[in-house]
Amino acid sequence: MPAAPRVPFKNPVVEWVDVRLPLFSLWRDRYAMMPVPRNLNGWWVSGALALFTLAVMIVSGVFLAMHYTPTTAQAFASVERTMREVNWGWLLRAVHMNGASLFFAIVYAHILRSVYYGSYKRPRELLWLLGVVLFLLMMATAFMGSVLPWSQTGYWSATVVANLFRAIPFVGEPLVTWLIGGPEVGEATLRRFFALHYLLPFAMIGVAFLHVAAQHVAGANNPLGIDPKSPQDTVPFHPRYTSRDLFGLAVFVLVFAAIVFFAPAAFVAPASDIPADPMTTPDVIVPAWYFLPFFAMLRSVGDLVVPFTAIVLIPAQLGGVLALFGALLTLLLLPWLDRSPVRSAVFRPLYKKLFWLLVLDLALLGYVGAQEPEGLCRLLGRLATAYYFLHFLIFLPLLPRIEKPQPLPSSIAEAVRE
Amino acid sequence: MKRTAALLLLALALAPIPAGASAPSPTTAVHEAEAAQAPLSLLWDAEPLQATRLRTGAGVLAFLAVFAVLLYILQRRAWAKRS
Ligand code: HEM
Repeated sequence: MPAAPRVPFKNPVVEWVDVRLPLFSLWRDRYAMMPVPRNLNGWWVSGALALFTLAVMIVSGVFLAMHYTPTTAQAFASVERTMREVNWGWLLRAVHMNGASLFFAIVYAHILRSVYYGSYKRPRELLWLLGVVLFLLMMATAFMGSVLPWSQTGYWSATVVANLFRAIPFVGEPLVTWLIGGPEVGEATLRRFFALHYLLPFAMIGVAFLHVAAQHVAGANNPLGIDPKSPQDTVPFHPRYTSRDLFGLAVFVLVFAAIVFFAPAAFVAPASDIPADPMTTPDVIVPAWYFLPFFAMLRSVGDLVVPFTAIVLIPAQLGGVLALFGALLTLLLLPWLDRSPVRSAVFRPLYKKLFWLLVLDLALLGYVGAQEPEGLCRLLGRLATAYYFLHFLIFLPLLPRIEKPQPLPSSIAEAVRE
Repeated sequence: MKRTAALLLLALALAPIPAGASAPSPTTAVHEAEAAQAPLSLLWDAEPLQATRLRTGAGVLAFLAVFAVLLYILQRRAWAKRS
């Protein structure tokens, strides 16, 4: 805490509490009165929306858990019962299922915002790393959640993913046995997935707290990517940004409600209405849309052979797993791969083009992930996977040598005035 | 600013009470037996869930639309102020 003398509050109750535990001072100085760049645009609402969605997921999830039975014999039936007999159970389920999709949509927008405006660069590297940790936790939580209703979709996607991990040399087999609690996906898998699916969101609260704390230390980046230099460059967070966050929230909840009430099955996978059956493999096993780009990478890699021989260096399965983990690791390294001192894409003509190419590439991977990995789609998948790594590992590090950034404005206030 | 806040409170007070809280109809059991095999997408569309869902949804959306407009006005005022 800073040693500056504290300003007393007029309300005696508030003052009494604040002297003993400075919650209100903290709120006033670190939130309401905190100076924030005056030029933030609507993309900066995404963080607040992500926090809100995390809360919605936890609340709806806790109530769903009250009616859920984590056994292979009962899980499917208990979910059906929630839908039909529990008061407002269908609403809980619709909120939780569609909430997961919207959570990913918001977080993808949030990540792309950070990538476009260079918010991962010094001094915000740790803030970015904590963000990537949140993203990994989200993916793990969503994956385990999709197994819980013990439907064909959930059961078989767990089996497919488990089999892929078996391809890791030496440790693959024991690792998978340890993770799923036995030789095959079954009772033990369901129970631990339930325990972890309940646990991880609370870990996310902790990490999100550190994430936001780190942002309050560094201060918010802004669309120009230049630091505020004088008081004219900033405004207090309240009331401008509080009111804008609230308006953004209202629009988001409106969209959320429209989906929940009028298209609740919009994101439902094909075989999620059939109970799990280890004896019948469904025709298609497609993960939720938010996993599709990563799923495409997992399946795009072929056997890596020694040229002109039939000796397989890296089998396709292992290659896929490596591509998946490589793609995520690359995200962690981003602050050190992009060496340009200019943050915002607004002043980087080449980077701006590359950014949109990357977005296209991810969209293409998403499309390929939903198709059978054959023929043209297989080729596209490989090219798009290769391009992803090309972007991050080759283009970004080389870019500062080629690119001439445009001149930066001398201050935020001046740029806003123009 | 004060007036907008008062309007917000008014909107909250007048918010429609969801109409779906009624007891399940006696035909529920029959529907259930039929629905047991139904695909999930059909399940969402099955009676009596569907009627409740659409009715509640209309109320919720109407309320949220008004709420969003008020918050938009609030936001505009916050940004119009000098300082
Ligand atoms: C559960 C998920 C997440 C939550 C709840 C969350 C929350 C927030 C909040 C509240 C802010 C401040 C407001 C804003 O700038 O929008 C923020 C900023 C930020 N977040 Fe996240 N975030 C999440 C995931 C991520 C991920 C996955 C990344 C990147 C991989 C990320 C990167 C950043 C960065 C770089 C900033 C600073 C932006 C700036 O200062 O301009 N966040 N986050």
